[in-house]
Amino acid sequence: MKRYILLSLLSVTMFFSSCEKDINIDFPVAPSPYVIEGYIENGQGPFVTVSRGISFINEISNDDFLNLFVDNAKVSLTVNNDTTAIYLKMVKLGNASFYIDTTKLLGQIGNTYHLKVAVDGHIFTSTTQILPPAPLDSVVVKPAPDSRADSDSLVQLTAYFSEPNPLGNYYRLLTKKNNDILYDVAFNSIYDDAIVNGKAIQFSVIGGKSQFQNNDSADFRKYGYFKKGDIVYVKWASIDKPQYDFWKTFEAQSGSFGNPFSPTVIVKSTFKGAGCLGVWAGYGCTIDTVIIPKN
Amino acid sequence: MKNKILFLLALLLSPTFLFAQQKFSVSGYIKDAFSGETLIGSTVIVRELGKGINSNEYGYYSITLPTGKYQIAASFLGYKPIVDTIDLTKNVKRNFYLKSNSIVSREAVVLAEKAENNFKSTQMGTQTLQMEKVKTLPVILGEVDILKTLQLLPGVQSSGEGNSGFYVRGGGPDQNLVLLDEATVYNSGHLFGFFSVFNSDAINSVTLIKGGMPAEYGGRLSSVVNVNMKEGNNQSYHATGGVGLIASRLTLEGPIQKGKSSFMLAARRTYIDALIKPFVSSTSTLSGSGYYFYDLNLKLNYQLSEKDRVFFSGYYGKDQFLFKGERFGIKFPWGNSTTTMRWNHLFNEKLFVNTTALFSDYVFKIGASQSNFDFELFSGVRDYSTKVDFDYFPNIRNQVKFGAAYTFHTFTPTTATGTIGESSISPEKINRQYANEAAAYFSNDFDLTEKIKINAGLRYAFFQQIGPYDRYIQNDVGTISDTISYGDGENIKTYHRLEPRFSIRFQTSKSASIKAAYTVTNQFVNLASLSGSTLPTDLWVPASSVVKPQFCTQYSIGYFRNFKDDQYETSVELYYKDLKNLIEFKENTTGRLSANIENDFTFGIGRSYGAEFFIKKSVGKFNGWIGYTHSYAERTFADLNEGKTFFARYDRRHDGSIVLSYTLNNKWTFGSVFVYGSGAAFNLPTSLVFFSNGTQGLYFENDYRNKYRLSPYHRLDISATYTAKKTDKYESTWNFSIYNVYNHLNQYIVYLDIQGDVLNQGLKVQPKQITVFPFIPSVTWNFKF
Repeated sequence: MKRYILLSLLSVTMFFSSCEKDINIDFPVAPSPYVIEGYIENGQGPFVTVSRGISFINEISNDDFLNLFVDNAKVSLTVNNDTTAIYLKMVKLGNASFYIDTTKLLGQIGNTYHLKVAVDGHIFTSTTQILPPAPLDSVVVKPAPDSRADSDSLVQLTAYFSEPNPLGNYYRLLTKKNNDILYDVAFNSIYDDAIVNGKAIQFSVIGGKSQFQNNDSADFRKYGYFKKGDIVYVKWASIDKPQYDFWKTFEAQSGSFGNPFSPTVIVKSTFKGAGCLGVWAGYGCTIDTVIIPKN
Repeated sequence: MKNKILFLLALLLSPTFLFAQQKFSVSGYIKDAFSGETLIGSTVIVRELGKGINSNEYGYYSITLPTGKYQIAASFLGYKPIVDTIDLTKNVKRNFYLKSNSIVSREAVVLAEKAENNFKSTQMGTQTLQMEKVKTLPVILGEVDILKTLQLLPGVQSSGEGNSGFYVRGGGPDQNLVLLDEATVYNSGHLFGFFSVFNSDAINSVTLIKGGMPAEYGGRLSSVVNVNMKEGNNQSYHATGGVGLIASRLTLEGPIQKGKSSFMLAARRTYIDALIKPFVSSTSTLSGSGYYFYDLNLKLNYQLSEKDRVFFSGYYGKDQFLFKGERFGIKFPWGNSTTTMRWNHLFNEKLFVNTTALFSDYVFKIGASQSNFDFELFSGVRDYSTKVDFDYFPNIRNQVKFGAAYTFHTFTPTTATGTIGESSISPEKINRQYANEAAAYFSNDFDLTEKIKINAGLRYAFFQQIGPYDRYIQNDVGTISDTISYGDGENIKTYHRLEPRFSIRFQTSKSASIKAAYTVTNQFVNLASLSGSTLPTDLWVPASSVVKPQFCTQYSIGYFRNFKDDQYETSVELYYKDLKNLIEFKENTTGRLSANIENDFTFGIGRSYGAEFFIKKSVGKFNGWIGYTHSYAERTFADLNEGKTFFARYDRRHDGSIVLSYTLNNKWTFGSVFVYGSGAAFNLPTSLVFFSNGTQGLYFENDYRNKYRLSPYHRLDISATYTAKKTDKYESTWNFSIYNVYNHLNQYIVYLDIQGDVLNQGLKVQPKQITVFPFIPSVTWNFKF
């Protein structure tokens, strides 16, 4: 964190003289990579998407984005040491395509899942595990600080957590509100126990960031808070190290967008096979439902 | 190897005992007549023999000659030489007090090196800059910065626009040993390196050694930057100071006991914070935020007797950032402090010894607080050292140095302490690293024949990491699988290294020579840096069982020639460096808090080679230099860039500068600097990738490292120094500088600006460049009384 604060302060301090201008760059021409994203959690079936990267052009529209989805991949799973592959089925939602299970395969705590994606002659593989969940002790509603915009209508959620021993646990926090379909994450969604191993701690449950991506004008002062009357689902997942490394590097890279002083961050894919970037994520999770009183 | 060393020792010692006539010594100190300040590296020449030696770091010289009458000339560039006839029938003490040319006749000079040294000494790749002479050159924002002037010399590259950090001959930023009165300065930059920690008013001189490192120096691969603080005028009281655009300086100096002891106290502080304050409204989110740095230099010296002199010098500098946001506040201070205590003792005319006790400390801290959250991160390095250095002047043909040094290092990794709500997150113990470093050396600079002069030396280096320490063993996915705990004082890993140093000069004519040097160096402490440049957050980490000492063998050869009665010095130097055990972060490191930062390292090799061309005119009204370097710096790491060789970030194909200074009359001096360099290497992604929720990422090819170049860098700076008043009692000068006169928008950094949202209105991608310093005029007022 300190690195980013430092770098952004560096930007601030140079305001007295620095200037910025648009330039043209001849981007290198290279084959576009495959992007794979897959999840499996206790009690839920697997969900996988496959897409392609896009070379740098000045504007990328929603249609361009939807055209990146790949619908001709063969996506299969094997569980633990099983040799029988379970093939996922491709389903389309408009131009977007997803791979899901139709055999009622549900994620189980302690199982290891091997994912194989065969596409256009390439084979990409990755393995994840559903680790035993480490439930939060409680999630408590607290008033938002007075300084927030609309602080009368906002609250903050605080999680209490007894971090289990030994050192080397990794977690991901996701939240969902009311009737949302998908869980959302904050700008920083992952935690490790490097400095809190075995301790009873409390931390803020930061709400999702998607509102800022969808709407530039969203009031950043409300970021992370919840509204009175909301029903909030807090998903707290134990994750494995390769997955942690993926999110860690991915979020560090996202955090460096627009920060010219940041060093290059290369996202660490969990997949084997050249020309692929992606994550195969097992969640060993618990979900806390928090009903925030209207008053 | 063993035979080589024996041969070397034999070579070292043999010429020392060649003569057995009746001999006496003439010895003493060479100093500035006005201030009593030491003139480091001044020359004493015996006219009859056409031979001479340089005074040592304390201005001491000693020449032993057969009985006879000799004309002895003491000189220092920019000073009027003194010639004295000495009847050597017994040992003679003779101190020389030289008068500055600026007092004798106002003649500006840029460099204060005896021009003959260029081709006569065995030393290669060495330049000394005299602070007073650098002050007429253009400066950015009015701050004279010796480290930035060094960057104008061939083989030295800036680590970024306006930055005081530098790379020497393709080496990393941590491979430069920066010494302030012999104490190691671990972070030589303020404000992320935009200003160096060296207050120009407190500095006497700076010497840069980039090749042919003598045996008394060790511990870094690329260079030594030896900065000497002023001792203070021991004749009368003076105040020197300046008011600039962003900082002010004040230095006080004077005798404690006239002629015997003196003090120098210098202070500098920036006031960007104060200047900005009126423009920041009290309701703004930036209100209460600010930045400043300050420096304090203190030096005291006392002559106890004819044979003993003691010095105390100290430096304390600090940067402070304050950020007050709505949600949280951050405060982070960082800085260096160094203390040096030295005792010069003369055993006899021929044997000079200096004993030093040193302390050096670098601390970085960041504190953050929020309503239920209080947090502090800190890291640092602390050294306690002692060393003893002997200068032995057996006769005029030999100058022998030997000595030993010991340092106890303490490295504090990035450590977090604090509270979250009611729970404390302070670690039970801080996993510090402790190490012993020691060295012993011997060298002799001697005339083998009339034409051949040799400097041969050998340095033994020892490094040992000791407990307590916990080493975390990671499994193949990087999860900690085991811990090895070392007890207090337990030996964890020991390294012994021998470093031969050899340079030879062959004089080809009255004013030309060929020199060659062979240098082996090891580096036991390394800077873990993600950014290529140095940031105050970067950690120093010692060699350990995981991190092997960085290792360099450098070969260099050069032709040195003076023209027009030593008015013009020229040189061409070629070098080749073979580097091993270099350190980089593993591919996907993001700079997280790491229990063992070494687990994030990967190791490789490198090489760098190049040619340096240099023409310098040091005397006359019109003087300056032209330097050009053509060089390559390559790195090969098995685990980076698919194992393919890549160019280092500081690979620079062309790098040149033209530095000119012209004294028009007693009132006006003009300076100009032109710099041209190939663009720095950087990384470009090849694709943009998206996840199903619309968030985007950048995709880099596996061999992406440093494949692209910023556009070439160039700029011209000019300056005019106006002496408004100059008497013996009072001096007032104005320096007007324009940085980047033709406003070339140099690329400091190129980045991709990505705006919008691909799920709705679409995404806009725009490459942008940032220019840090466009056209910048500045004015500084300097005074002296």
